[in-house]
Amino acid sequence: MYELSLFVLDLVQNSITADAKLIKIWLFEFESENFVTVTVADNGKGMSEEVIIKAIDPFMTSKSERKKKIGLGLPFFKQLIESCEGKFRIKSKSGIGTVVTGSFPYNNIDQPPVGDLEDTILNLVIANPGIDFLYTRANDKNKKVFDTRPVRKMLGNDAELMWQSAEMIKWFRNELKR
Amino acid sequence: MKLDELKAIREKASAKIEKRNADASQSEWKIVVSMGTSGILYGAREIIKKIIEEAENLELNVLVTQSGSFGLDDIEPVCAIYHNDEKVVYGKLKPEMIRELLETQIVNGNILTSYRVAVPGDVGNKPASE
Repeated sequence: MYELSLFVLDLVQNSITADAKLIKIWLFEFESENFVTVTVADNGKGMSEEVIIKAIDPFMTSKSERKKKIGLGLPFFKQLIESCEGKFRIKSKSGIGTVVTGSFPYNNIDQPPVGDLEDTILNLVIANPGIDFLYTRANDKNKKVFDTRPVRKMLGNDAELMWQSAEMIKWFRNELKR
Repeated sequence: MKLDELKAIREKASAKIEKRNADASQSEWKIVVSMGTSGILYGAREIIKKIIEEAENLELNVLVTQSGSFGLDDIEPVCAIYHNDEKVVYGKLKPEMIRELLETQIVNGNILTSYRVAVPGDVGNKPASE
């Protein structure tokens, strides 16, 4: 994978598979502090410590464990962050949720391009009418926050049915691409 | 966020939903894109984006969503199209195929055999003689 936004998509799919109802995504790029951090946090079913250890080790998954559906997403992300002289962290609790964070220096030469993160988030929001997203992206000059919770409240009981209407897709696109 | 715009959208959309609910012939279509690590590596993000765009262009009444890996890593990107209780799986997708796929499968109700993948539980898995 060559874009940070693809890693974010992979982490978010983990959250979706974990039955998360709220997924928070942060990307902070502070040149002044020489610091980039990307975080995906969810309120999904979480993992026990034993499962976390398996989830971050690419060689731990044996065939009999395949049914646990531990993929290569987390090991890839960990490898990327560590190749950027960064720090990878994962915190998870069964029944509470999971937080995955990678931080690395802004000026690192191995840092992948971010890619079109807004577009990635846009398609995630549209394709998951039952899940709320809080997306925050900030750098030295700008801060952008996109939250689907007030949107859902505004749309009322039929929010999920309206979510993929042409009008809503246009609204989401305008909000995220602004 | 321009939340006040949502009021007008809500009114417009609920009228559409009522109309749709009243018309029983409008059955539900669902497209699920496999979005595991291997799918993402082979371009599933561009596929779901294109499906959302083309469904909008063709004004289809379809739910587009994503799931973890289908386990068909050798033919990613993969999507499954559900209609009533039937399921058809398509593999090795490219963004430029999507328009033809949606027109054939959803607008015309035919299976696009050239991209179809035979998997258990797939209606396309029946022998050709049937």
